[in-house]
Amino acid sequence: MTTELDEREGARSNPGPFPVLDVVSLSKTYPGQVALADAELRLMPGEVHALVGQNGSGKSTLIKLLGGYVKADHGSKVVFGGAPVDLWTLDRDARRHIRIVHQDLGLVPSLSTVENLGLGRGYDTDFAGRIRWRAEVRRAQDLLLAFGLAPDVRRPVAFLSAAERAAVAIVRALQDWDFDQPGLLVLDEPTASLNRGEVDALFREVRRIAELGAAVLFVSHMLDEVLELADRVTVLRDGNVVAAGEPVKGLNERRLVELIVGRSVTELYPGTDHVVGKPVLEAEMVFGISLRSVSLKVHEREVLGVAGLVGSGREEIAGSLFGATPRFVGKVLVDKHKVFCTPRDSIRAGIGYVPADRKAVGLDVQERLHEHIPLPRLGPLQGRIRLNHRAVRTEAAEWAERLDVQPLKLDRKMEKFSGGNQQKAVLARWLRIAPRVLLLDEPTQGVDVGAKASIYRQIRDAAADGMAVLVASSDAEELVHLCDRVLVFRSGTVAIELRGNTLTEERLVAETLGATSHRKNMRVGREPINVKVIRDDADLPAEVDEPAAYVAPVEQQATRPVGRFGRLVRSVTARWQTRK
Amino acid sequence: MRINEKTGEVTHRPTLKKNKITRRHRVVHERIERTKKVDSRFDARRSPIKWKTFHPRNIGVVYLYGLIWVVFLLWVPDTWLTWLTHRSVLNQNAILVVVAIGLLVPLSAGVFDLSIAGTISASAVMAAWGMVEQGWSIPVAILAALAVGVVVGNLNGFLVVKIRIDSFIATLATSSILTAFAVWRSNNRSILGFPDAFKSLTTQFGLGLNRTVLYALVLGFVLWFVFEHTALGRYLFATGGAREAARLAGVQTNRYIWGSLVTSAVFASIAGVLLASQFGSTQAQSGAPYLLPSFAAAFLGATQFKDRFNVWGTVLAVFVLQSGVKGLQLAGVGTTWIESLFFGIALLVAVGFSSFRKRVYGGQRRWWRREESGPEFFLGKLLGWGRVKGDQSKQNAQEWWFDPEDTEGHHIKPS
Repeated sequence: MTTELDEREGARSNPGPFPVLDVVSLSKTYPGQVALADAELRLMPGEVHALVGQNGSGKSTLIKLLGGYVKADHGSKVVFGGAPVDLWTLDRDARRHIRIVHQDLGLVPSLSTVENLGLGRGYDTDFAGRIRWRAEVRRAQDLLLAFGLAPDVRRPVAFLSAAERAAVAIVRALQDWDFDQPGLLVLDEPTASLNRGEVDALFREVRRIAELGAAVLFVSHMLDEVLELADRVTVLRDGNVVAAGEPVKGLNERRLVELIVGRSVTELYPGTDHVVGKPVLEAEMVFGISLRSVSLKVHEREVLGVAGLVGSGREEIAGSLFGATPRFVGKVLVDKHKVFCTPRDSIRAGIGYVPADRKAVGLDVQERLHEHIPLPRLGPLQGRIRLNHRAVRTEAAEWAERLDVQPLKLDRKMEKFSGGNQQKAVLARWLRIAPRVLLLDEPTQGVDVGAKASIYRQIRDAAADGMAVLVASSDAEELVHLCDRVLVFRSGTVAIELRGNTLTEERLVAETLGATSHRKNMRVGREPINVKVIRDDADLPAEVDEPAAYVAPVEQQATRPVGRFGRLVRSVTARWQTRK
Repeated sequence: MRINEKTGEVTHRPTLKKNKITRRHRVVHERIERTKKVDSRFDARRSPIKWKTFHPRNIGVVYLYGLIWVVFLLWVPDTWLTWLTHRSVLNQNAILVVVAIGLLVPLSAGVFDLSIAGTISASAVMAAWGMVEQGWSIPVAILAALAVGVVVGNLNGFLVVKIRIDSFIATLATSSILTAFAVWRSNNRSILGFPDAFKSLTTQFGLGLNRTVLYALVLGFVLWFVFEHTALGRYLFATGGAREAARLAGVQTNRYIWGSLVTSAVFASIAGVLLASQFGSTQAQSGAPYLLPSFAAAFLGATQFKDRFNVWGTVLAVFVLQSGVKGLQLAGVGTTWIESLFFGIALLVAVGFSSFRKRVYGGQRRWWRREESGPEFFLGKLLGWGRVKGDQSKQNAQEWWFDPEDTEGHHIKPS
C-alpha cells in the first residue's frame, strides 16, 4: 500500500515527462444510473492508449466528458497540460488541443470534402474574402493522399465511400496539429469501416503523431488492432476501471476478453427452467438491408437471443421480422400463417415489437401515458359512437400498474418519464395486445438497474405464459442470463447458435468479436497482420481439432483462415471441451 | 396494486377517481384494509383546483379578451357597447373559422396544407361559373365546387404520400395550379349575378347572426368530436406526433395523411361556396386573404387549452383577435393594416410564451422558472396545501443517491 503510494508520489516528483492528460478521478451520474464511477486515466506524451469495454461500459461517456459535451459529477479532478482543468468549461484555446474523431464522424454530408475540412479551421481567403478554392482543393488532396486515397474532394461527402469518409474525418482532426504543445487525439472506433490498407495508413499516421509528442486515446472493439497499435490499455466495465493503463506487452486477446467481460451478477436475472413448446415464429431465408438469408424459429415459452456486432444484422433482425424495415426475400410465419411485411399485418398476426430507438420510433414523446399504452389496439375500447375514455384510462392505469411505471400519472407526457419508465410503458403497450411473439430490440438500453430487473422479470413471465420472445441485444451478459438460446450474427447471417453449456459470456463475446477478424481476413487485398505475436497461453495446445460439440458448418471451416484470433477461439473452446 | 411483501396479501387496489371540480380522472390507490397506519407527514395532498387551468399560458386568449373589453370600453364606449359590433365580428369571421378548423386536420397529422387559399378561390369560381355562365342548378353547382375540393385533396394526398414530395412544397405547387384554374375560369373578372336562392344560404337567421356562424359551429362540433372522442383522432395525433412510431404501432399513417389533406380541401371548398354566397360575387383571388390568418389561428389555438391543435382554441383565437381588430378599427387606428399587425404580434407573443416554458434545459434555474414560483405554491402555502416540509432529509435517506457519509452537502439529487 505504502510502497505503491510512494511510487506514485515518486513518479509525480520526477522531472520526467508529465502526462498530457491525467484523469485522477472522473465520475458521471445520470438519473438512476452511474455511467462512470471514479475513472482514472493517464495519458503520457508519445503513447497510444487503448480504451476497451463492452457496450454500456462507460467508454462513450468518458469521450463525451473529454469533449465537454456533458458535465462531470462534483468532485471530479482532471489535469490537462500540467494544470487542473474543468473539462466542462474548458476554453477554446485549450480545447484545440483535444481532438476527437467520433464514431459517427461528424461530417456534413451535403458539403464537399474541402468544405468539411474548412468548417472548424476556416478557409484560405484572398483580399475580398473569396475562398481560394484551388489552394484549398490542392491542400485537401494532399492530406488525403497521405492516406493513400484520392477521392474527388469537390463532391459532397455523402457520395464518398465509408472508408473515404472516415479518412476525411480523421484528416480533419489531424490538420494543423500544434506540435509545440502536448495534445490529445481521441479516436472513437475509427477503423469500423476501413479495410486493411487504410487501417495501416491510419496506424502509421497515428504513430507519427504519437512520436511527435501527442497522446492518443484509441477506442475500439477490435482487440487485435488494440494489441497491434496500443502501448497501454485501460479496460472499463459497468462504469468502473478494471485495468488502468496495463501495458499491452503482458496481454493477449484471451486475457483482454476476460477483463472486458468480468464476473457477472446473477441476482439480476430470473431463473430460466421450463419446457419449450412448438415453434411460433418461423422465418425462412429472410434477406434485408444487411440481412443475408436468415432462417430462424422461435418457440413457445422460449426466449431467443440475438447477438452480433454493429452491422452484423443484429440491429435489423427484429425490425425486419416485424415489417418495420423491408424484407426483400423470404417469408415470416406465425403459427404457420404467412405474415406480410407491414407493421399492421404483423400486429394482427400477433407480433409485438419494441424498437431500439425508443425516443425516435418507440414512442411519441409528446403523447401522454394514457394515450401511449392503448394505441396499437383501440377497438375493444371503442363504445358505440365514441371512445370510452373511462375504459381507456382504466386499462392504461392497469397496465402501467402491472409494469410498475413510476410515477403513475396518466396525464404525464412520455418525455417526462425516465428512460426505464418509458421502456416499461412501451413494454406495457405491447404486452397489452397479448401477442404470440414479442420482438425486443435492445430492451434495456439506457435503463437503470431497478427497471432492468423489472423488465427481465416481465419478459420471463411473458415467456412462461406461452409467448415466444426474441431479444436482440449488444449486452452479452444480458443475453446469457435471459435467453434459452442465442444466435450469433455475423455479416448479416446466423453464424452459430449457442445453447445450454456452450452459452457462456466468454464464448458469446469471443464468437461475436470473432466476426471482425474473420470478416477482415476475407477482405480483398488484405495483407497478413505484421506484428510480433506475444503468446503466453503456452499451456494450451496451439492447434487442436474442432471439438465435436459444435461443429461449425463445413464450408465455413474450409474458408475460415486460422489467424491468431482463430487459434485463440479454438484453444478456448478446446478447454471447454476438456472440462466437460 | 400494492402487495404486502411479508404476508403477500393485496393491500391497495388501483381505482380511478373523478375530481368533482376539475372533472378529471386520476389513479388512486384505494386501501382495501387498514393494515398499517400511514404517516400523515408523507401524505402528499394536492390542491383541489388545478391552477394551471387558469394560468395565462393556458387560457391567455381569454385574458386578452378581457383586456380588449376594458380598453375599448374606455376608448370607444359608444360603439363598443352595441350588439352590432360583436355580431359583425362573428359574421365576418365565420368563414375564416371554417378554413382554420379544416386546416387543423392536416396540421395535427403532421403535414402542411398551403393550397387552402387556392381551393377556396377555385371552388368559389367553379360554383359561380357553373351557375352564371353554364346555368347549372344550385345543388349541382355546390356539388361541383365540393368536387374541386375532393380532387385537390386527393391530388395533394397522392403527391405527399405516393410521390413523397414534402407537403409544404407539394401544396404550394397545387395552390399555384388552382389559382391558374380560377383565373382561367373567371377570365380574371368578378362573376356576379347569382340566383337569390344561392345567396339565401348565408342570410341571417336570428339575433342578426349570419347562417355561416351556424355552419362554422356545426363543423367545429363535428371536428371536435372526431379529435377528442374517436379512435380516428388518436390516430391523427399519433401520426402527427411521431410518424414512424405511429406506423410501428400499427397506425396506417399514409392513409390518415391522405385523408387529412382531403378533409382540409373539402373544408376549404365549403368555405369557398359560403364566400361566394355571402359576398354575392366572386373573383380569382378571393381566397388569398384567408391563408395566413387561418395558419395563425391554428397555431395560436394550439397554445390554448391543450398542448396540441384543438378546435375551440382555434375558434376562440379567431374571435378574440378579430374583436381586437374591430375595436381598433372603430377607434380609427389604421383600418387597413391593423389586422395583419395584430395577428402577427398575437401569434408571436402566444407561441413565444409557450415555447419559453418548454425550454427546460439551457440556462440556470432562476426563481421565476421554478414550478414552486407559480400561483399554486404561494396560495398553497397560505392555505396549507401540499407536502408538509421538514422531513425532506428523512425521505432523501431512502434514495439511492444519498450518501450518509457526505458531510459537505453533496448529497443533492442529481438532475
